[in-house]
Amino acid sequence: MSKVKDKIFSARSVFDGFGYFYLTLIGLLCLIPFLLVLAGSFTANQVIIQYGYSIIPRELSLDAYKAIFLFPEKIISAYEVSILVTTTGTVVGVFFMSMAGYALQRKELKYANKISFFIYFTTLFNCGLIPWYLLIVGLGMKDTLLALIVPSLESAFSILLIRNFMRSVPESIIESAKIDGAGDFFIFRRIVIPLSTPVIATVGLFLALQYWNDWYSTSLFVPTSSKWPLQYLLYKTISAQFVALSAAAASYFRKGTMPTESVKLATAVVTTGPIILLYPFLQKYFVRGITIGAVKG
Amino acid sequence: MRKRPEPGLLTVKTKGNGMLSFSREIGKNRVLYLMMLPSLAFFAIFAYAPLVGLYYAFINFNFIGGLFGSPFVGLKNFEFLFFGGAHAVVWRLTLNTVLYNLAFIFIGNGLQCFTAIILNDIRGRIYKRTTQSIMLLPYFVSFVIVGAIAYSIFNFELGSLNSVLKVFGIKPVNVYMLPSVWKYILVFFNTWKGLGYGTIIYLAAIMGIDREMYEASELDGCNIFQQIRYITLPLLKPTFIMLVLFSLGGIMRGQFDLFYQLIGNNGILFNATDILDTYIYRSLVINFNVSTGTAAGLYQSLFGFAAVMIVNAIIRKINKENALF
Amino acid sequence: MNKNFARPVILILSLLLMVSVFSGCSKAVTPSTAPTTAPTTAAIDISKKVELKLFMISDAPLNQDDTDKFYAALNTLMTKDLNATIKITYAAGNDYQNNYSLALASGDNYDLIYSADWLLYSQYAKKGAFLDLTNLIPTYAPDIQKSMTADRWEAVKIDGKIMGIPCQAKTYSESSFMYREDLRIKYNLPVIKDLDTVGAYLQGIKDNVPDMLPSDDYQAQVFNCMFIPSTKYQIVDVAGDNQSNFVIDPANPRVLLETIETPEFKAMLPRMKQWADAGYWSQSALSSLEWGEFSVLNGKAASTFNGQFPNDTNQVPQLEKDHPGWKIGFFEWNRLNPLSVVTGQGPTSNMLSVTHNAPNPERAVMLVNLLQTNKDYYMLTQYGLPGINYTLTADNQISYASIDLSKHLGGAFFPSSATANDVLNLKKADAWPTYYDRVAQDVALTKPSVLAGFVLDTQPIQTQYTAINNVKTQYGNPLMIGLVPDVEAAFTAFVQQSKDAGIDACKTEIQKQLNAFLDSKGVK
Repeated sequence: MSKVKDKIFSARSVFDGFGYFYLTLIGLLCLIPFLLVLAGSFTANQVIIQYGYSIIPRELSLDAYKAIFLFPEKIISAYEVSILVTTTGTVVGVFFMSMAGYALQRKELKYANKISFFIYFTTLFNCGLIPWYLLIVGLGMKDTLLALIVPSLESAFSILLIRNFMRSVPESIIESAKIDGAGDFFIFRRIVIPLSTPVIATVGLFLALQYWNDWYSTSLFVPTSSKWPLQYLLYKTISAQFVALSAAAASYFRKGTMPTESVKLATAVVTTGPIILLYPFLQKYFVRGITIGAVKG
Repeated sequence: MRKRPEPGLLTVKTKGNGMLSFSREIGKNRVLYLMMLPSLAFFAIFAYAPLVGLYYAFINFNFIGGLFGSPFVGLKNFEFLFFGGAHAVVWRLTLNTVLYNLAFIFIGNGLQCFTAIILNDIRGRIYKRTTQSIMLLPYFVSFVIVGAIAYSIFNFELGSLNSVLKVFGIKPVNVYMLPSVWKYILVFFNTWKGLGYGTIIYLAAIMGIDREMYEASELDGCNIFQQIRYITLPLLKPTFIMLVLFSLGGIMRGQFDLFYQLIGNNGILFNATDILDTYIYRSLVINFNVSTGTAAGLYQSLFGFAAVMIVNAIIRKINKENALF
Repeated sequence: MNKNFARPVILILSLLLMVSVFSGCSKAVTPSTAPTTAPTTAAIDISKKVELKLFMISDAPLNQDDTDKFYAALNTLMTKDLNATIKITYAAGNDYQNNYSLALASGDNYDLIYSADWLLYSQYAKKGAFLDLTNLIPTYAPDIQKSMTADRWEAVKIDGKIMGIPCQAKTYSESSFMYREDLRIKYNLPVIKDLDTVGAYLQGIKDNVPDMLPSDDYQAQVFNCMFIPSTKYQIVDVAGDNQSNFVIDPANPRVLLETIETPEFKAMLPRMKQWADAGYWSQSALSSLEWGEFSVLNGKAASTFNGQFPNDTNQVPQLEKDHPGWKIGFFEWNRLNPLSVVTGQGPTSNMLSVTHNAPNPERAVMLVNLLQTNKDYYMLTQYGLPGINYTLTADNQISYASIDLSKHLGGAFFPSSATANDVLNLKKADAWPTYYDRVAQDVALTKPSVLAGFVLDTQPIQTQYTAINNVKTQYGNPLMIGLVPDVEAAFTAFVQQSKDAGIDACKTEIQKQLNAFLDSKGVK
């Protein structure tokens, strides 16, 4: 082994040593609170209020999950809605945004910069709830799943992220494809997309997370309960119990024994679950872009 | 945009040329423009059209007149922020909000970038993927729960911090009456919550770097630190700048949930922890008013707008490629 | 390049959109003035079948089967009597202020909407959100017209117009010291009858039960819940939970006082400091989000200053069953002072209003009439479906003994508190044993309020009013619960900050409004 190689090797061990230490530390900091949440969701509510959170449940209890799954048949249909909204929205949104991102990074486009500004500008100003509501209702989306999907399809952030990433695709590949007579859309679909899987996976994950977690649009636009996604159903289940606690009119409830705290925690666990399952699947797209030779060939 | 003399401005004739070049440009690149069309339509409809609602900030809203029939009151709705002139509450809040956001932006992005680099180069596939997944977990823990956890750690009588201190015979501390420590606590929780999310972005950016560069540098005898210093970091710069610029637009928008759930209405901590969003929230609870809320939001937007325009212009001067627009 | 080609495109697009969207909205506004013009004495015309829309601040019921049955039952009744059906929109519980405002501004044209002082009834009414019902009520709600007392109508009038129909139930919600009576007996602590005995109780818990908080309340609730009832004053402006900036002495109602300038306010502070130092509540209370009653019910704290009598008695029977040996006591704070002003909850605390753009205001008022005075409607909307949501005992009381309330909660279908009526109310079989006697005692203490019908308009002083409330949060709350090193200095700072924030301007304006109100009532 040459000296140079030795040096590289020892630098590598220093890096690895520090890296493992650092990542383990960060990992623990991120894991412990979540374990508190997980343990708390299986703890009797009274114990949480009295003693606070702990990693090992002092007193096991499934009350919180019983409260969440009070109407199991509803949960199943809500899952279906959630999956439908999330997949449709993510696929369509990512497709539109990558097209725009691709076009925006092309140097021959004279107005690219103006259009980037046009898109970015939308993140600065917040129009408020009333005009937003009138718009969605005016477009005839009230009480349809479109109201959940369409308004969140695109975000300026994701488009510009894609634009930035696609800039790193070497110009020479695109040029040579053009010389071979390939059209813009063909280049986009066959060359740029395969080279951009990391950013597409990232944007897709963010968009999917947003769809999955969104309950607020449902609360505004979708009154029919058969069209509720999971997050909103859970939100309703919890808040209906809280309202039940505070309703002065019909106030005969087992308030003291309602699992309020643990229900909050159990909801966090139930909603996190599916995404945690999705993420490792996405990670396989986080590999270094296919080497350029492979695409050329 | 300002410096280049533009012939289109000078005569009618050249203006015609401008239109001509416009249609020629569209014609030449029609496929590319067509590819953007769905997005342009999307933003026109869902982002620009509702902006008409900003007019709420300038009226004394009533339900009979609606948006266009209510009396115009000029800047009166902004008064609650600027009342008191130089001593107005808005200056302290603006300073707090900006400082917190700067800390959030730079510490957050720095750490995310750092973590992504380590995560990318560390060996062991399973370990790598597991830590990456774990780092995303805090994203799912809502600030309501974070607030509750923080309270169970820091509260004076039953909190775990003081229980630990007691074991070591140290005098218990009342964190909820110490304004000075909250800057660190808030920055910590915010960074913690966004770490996994942001790391993914940087990780994706690293993936975009041509692998051949690393292979070549290895042949040249570069060790891993040199590779990071001379290849990874410079190539991450555009992403870093883009993310920072993006956050700057929201420099006057605080993380309302973070502050509200962790601090609540604890007046003792306000000088150190009150930001515009929490102040606006407390004001609207007492006096709910669409117009006042819109006015406050408009102030935040304009501030962010100015910040972004200035910083973007500076970056543009240095390197056109790195500017956002 | 100075021509942004996108600009004209955006402009046209957004214009088109806005025209289409907002024209729909403004069209909806126009009919609002029509019904108020003339009171019809002609025969009521219900020949056209309509669907009434009701907006309710509450979460939708979870049990779809129960809900469907409930609506079927209600719509059957309504079709027969009114040739109408009903559709209810439930708004999300949190973020309710935005949702409420949206419901009124959106052009969704609700016929009926829940309204209440805590939902800023007067502010909305003044902004034209509700329809003036003064002329509709005699014709379309004759039974309510007959039974409602004049003082209740007076209390809900805004600028002389009835903007909401109040319920006819005398409701009480008195701030109370809610505490573990069993611990008091166990450690031989004195019977609670004044602040000294409360202090002795808290000290007794501190000494004997070290791992329990003597009391637990969020922010400054300790002070806020107890202070006003311990004085002779009455609150003029309700600003936040049990908080006020201005009060009057009902014996001398024309003199408006700042709460913080009353001698009682300053006199209370040293005791609060002493109690805080003694550890009677958490040093972290200002950031706490815990409801005191939850802490007591779960055994974390021995007491809360923020108990509500009689509402909190509802969970006590179950609690005493779950924890044999536990007993809960209530001490109403108004017992601290014989001059304490007890008025019960005002008529504006529970109402139904008709929105300014309601398509069918007449039918809506007719419905309210039936809901409040017709036994069939009343039983259905207050208690739900017999056998499913409740059972009736032999002596005609409501019983939930055999009902799984987590699944079959009845009252949540409907804004039932807004149409409650003492005449039709049934007793609950499983209530706290002494519930009805204690409530009767409290009822006996109530006097009509001098300020009934007074509606504060903060619009002219919005800026200063917001500012003084923020000062109160920042400087007042720590002082009020004794979490300051030096009471005297903190008090001086608080008063000074309030002055800087414009409390004098607020006082001048509110005094003006108060005078005008008392003049109109003929009060000296």
